Amino acid sequence: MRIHCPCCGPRGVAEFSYGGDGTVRRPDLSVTDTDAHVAYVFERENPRGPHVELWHHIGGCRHWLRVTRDTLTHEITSVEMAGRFAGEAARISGAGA
Amino acid sequence: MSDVSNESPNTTARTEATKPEAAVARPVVGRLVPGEAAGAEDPSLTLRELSAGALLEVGAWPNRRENVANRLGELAGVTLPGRPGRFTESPSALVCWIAFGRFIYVGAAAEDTARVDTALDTEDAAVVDLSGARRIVRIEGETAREVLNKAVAIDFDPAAFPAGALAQSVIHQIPAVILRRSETVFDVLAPSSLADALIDWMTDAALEFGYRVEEPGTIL
Repeated sequence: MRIHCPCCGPRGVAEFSYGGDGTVRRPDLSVTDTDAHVAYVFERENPRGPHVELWHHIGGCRHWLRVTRDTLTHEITSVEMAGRFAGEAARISGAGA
Repeated sequence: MSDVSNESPNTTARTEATKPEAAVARPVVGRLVPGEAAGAEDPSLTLRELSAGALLEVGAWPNRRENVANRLGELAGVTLPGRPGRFTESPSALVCWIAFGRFIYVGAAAEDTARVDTALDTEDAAVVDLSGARRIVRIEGETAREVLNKAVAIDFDPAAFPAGALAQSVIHQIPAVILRRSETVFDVLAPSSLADALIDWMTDAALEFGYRVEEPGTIL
């Protein structure tokens, strides 16, 4: 499996570290409903098909990526920069070629 | 307390058997010995270690990249590359754009450490001195890319990875920055504490093509 890093270009999966489901959002800390926090920490879907997940390019640029991967075929349909440099990445042409 | 010896008779015997004179048959590992050659009568590769006066990592805060890039360009006397994965150089400095918001500045002069640090506003960037934290190994020759491709699955065809291109990857479990200085010259930056292992790997990987170790040089 290869992931096309928006910064580094196509790289083998061994350079990346899996970061889990990319759609979960931590409830605001003011939320007192413990179920919401339990769900955030423990509850995950186990989808068969497209899945949005986080990958860390630890063996390369060390950026976090939001990857849409089909869990059945491993086909990757989208890779985006996650985090604070996402905007900058979008403005620079030619990166990751 | 009286003198205590931890050495059993067996330990003493083993120590004597492996003292340096008895171990010279083993090639030197973990460092490059100028003049050493291996693998072929007419080696096609040369290896050497390089030094830099200053080696800094510059981390720009989000959305401060233009300020930082402009400042680094002025300091180095270069126009910065247009995107990450590239470097540009002048006779006195080399600026690598290694990731969004992150640069490596290599200077010929040791004074550059202080010069870069004071020139960059802390509102724009953080500067970390890596001078002692990296070692640089140069591998040169027509087959240099084949050696590197034993460890990294990166297309080193000059069309895809021309002179001026760089890649951060992992060689032999060691995080490395690979700079292509020319079609046949690659400089590899590795953490100092792992550079011995990198050199071990590289001499082993280069053996089939033959290599000769040259005197240490400077990166600029």
